[in-house]
Amino acid sequence: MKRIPIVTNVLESNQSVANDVRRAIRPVTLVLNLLSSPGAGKTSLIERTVAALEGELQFAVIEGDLTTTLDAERVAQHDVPVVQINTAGGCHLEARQVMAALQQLAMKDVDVLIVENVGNLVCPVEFDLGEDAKIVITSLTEGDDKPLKYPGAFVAAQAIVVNKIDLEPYLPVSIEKLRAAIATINRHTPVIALSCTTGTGFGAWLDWVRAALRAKRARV
Amino acid sequence: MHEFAITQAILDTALHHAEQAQVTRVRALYLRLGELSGLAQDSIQYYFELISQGTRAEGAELHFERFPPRARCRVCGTTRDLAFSPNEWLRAFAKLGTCACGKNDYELDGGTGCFLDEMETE
Repeated sequence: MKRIPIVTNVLESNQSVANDVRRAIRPVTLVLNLLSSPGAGKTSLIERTVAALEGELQFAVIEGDLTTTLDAERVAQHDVPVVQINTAGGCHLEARQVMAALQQLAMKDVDVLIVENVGNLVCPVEFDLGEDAKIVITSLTEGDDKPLKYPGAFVAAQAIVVNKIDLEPYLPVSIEKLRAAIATINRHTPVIALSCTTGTGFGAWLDWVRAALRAKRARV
Repeated sequence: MHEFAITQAILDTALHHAEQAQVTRVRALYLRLGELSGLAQDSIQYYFELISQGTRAEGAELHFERFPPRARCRVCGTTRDLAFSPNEWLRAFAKLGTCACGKNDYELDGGTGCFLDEMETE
């Protein structure tokens, strides 16, 4: 019998494709990977963002879902180039799928590429897609305990969006309790509370996107 | 839920190293799972038995170890170990108190990933 030391992260192959994605995308393009549970508002955030910044920034979108092109159709209505990836049961996107989707997108003038991951707060955390930032969206209707139950996503996030704050009066949940739960595991990532329906708080999110883009371009 | 993809990656990594070392049979794999990755050991075990059939790793025993994230002081960079069990590390993190540098400004560090540390072969 022989013992062979290896000590390697088994996801190294995904990591290496993610690094290829980074090289394939122009360094002036900001890449965001959107993570949330199903129904927290990833597609709504994309729709409202591209509408608000129309004429200011050029977007492209990659949509990840188990099945259907429903989300891609919603985004396409805003005249934004979009590619749908169907994972056929897969619970997360992997870098090779993003690489394949890139071949179908005209990326030349794109300022911001948004990748909407499969709705899931666990699995997508582990797979680097070549993004500059992971954005975690949580919503008031999910309750205020999700940061504690799914800490991995909230630790990995570079910005945390709290959606559906317009529903606070109707729910036994408070934004402050949710903020406190987030702070328990991550005190340093900006938390942006907003409503994709009414637009309340949306300005802070748009400012975050602009600042992230500026920061990336300053590094070039 | 992403255990299938992880198990495929474990098997690929093991087979790659087995081929390089020119071993015909892998008897055991020693794995380390980050607590923040939310990986279920029994699912990995189940998938591994299925997909390793007919490979040099068929029948290999899987040994699991888990590791929690650590706390890192954002001011001086000192890292501190946290209690191990799923509930305790979070509670310990919330109650760390002041760092030796006099500040109380920690972040969670690590605790993710699936590492293949070692394998036993024939």
